[in-house]
Amino acid sequence: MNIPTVKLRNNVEMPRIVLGTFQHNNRDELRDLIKSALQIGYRAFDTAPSYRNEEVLGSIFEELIADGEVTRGDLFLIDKIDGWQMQQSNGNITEYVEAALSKLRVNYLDLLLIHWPFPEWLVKTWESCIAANKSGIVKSIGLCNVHERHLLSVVDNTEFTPDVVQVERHPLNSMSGLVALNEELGIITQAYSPVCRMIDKLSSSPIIAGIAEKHGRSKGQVIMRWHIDTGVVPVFMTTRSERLEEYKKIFDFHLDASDLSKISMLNENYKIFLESRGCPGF
Amino acid sequence: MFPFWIAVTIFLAITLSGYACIRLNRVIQINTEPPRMLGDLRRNFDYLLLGSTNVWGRCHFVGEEAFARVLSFAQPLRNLWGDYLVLQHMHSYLKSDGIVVLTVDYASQNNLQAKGLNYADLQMLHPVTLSSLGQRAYQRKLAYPLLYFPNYCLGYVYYILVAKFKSRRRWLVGSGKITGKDATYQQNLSGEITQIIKRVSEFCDIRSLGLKVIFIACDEFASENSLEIIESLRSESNRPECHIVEDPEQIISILA
Repeated sequence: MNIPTVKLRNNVEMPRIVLGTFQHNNRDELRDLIKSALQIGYRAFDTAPSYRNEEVLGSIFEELIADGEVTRGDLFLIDKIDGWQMQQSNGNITEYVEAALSKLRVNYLDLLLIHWPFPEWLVKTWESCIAANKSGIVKSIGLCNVHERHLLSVVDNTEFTPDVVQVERHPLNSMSGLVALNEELGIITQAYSPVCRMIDKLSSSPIIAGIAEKHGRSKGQVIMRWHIDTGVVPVFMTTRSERLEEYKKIFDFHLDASDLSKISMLNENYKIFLESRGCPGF
Repeated sequence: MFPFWIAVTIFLAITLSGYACIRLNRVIQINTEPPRMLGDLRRNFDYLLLGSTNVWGRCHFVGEEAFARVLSFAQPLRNLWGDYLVLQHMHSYLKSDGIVVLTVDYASQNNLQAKGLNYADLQMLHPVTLSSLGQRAYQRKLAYPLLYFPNYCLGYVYYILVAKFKSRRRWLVGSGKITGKDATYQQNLSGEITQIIKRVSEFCDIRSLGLKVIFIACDEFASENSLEIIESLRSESNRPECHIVEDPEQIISILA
């Protein structure tokens, strides 16, 4: 079974589940992981300059494409613009996009995201992203780690709506306001930390355990399916190929409205990644 | 000929001093670091404390239970501008309608007037902020406080020793009174404090955070000054909740 896709507002098809590469920079381990992911059917991969693995990923993809294991067209590559890049370029990030293409050894990115909404350079950086999008070197653009006020400010100032918004989202931080706003604006929400690193308060939740038992699935699968059934694309991390298999099997069942509501009610605005620590003045 | 035992003594003294410096450097570095985000998973605090450590330190030793949901980023020798920068970097530790508590401590001139940031403040800030502030090669500098921030380190050691050998409360009570209390001084002081409070207030308002400003008025001058500032904030649409206390321990009842 292939991983389904979702159509972005610009008609680009994006896979409904993404493999994140944060904290992965050992070439051999990453190569094995990506090879397994591709064999299982994953096509979307997420990186950022601060993950320090763009070059490693580039060499892996180049090798896999040369070996005929995958084509560039099969892949959906997501990269980001970091705060220091926004600062150093004063928002004119074209040279960093070109550097990312060079490191990843591709001639276009499928999705470029602004990693953190540093207020001083957010609008200028967004305008630069729009230019990169129009030039064709970036197929889609979006924002990360934003609240409604950042999103509305960007849209109001540039009259250009992002294709994707990526935020930390899981049952303990359901981001219902932002997800609803994204839906209203036709933006696809991506959720990083989709299972909140399965911290105790989530893994010991009787609600999640009950729903998992009802569907005969793991707790992780139930949470990942909650994202899918609420219209959100999870971006998950793992080092284990068993986990890749496990999360591939979330597309053959559904949660009912009562399950979704029970999971959403676990929300307590709990975040692993504190926005202000990633972006002062957030 | 140079006596052998003198050479050995000098060698040992240099080695031990070097070791002590390396240890002290490391201790100061670790003790001034902010919490590790992926290691310390406490979140959604009710209160975020900023301002004079003289005050907050004193409160910490009273009623620990009451402060279970309180996170303090107060540091000795930080000024209000530093508090504002730390707030920008740390406010996400608060729950969505959490409250920032900013102390304006008239017993600490540094808290009110000093410019610049000390080592502990710089440790708290984001690399992008440090870069904006013109702190070049900050990563190297922050790794060697003894070398690059000797004054801070001396102060740090002094506070630790005083706290160890005297009553803890003694150093936490703070010392020093406002000097140069003429009209111009008062006007300048009020203006500077008001400006920072307005910025903090606007910052909190945009993020739907509460703000309590607590003036620690150690004498008549401080009380008058505090009242003047509160009066000038009255016209603000997002004016913060202000309190004047004479004794820091009164803060506990304000937060309760």
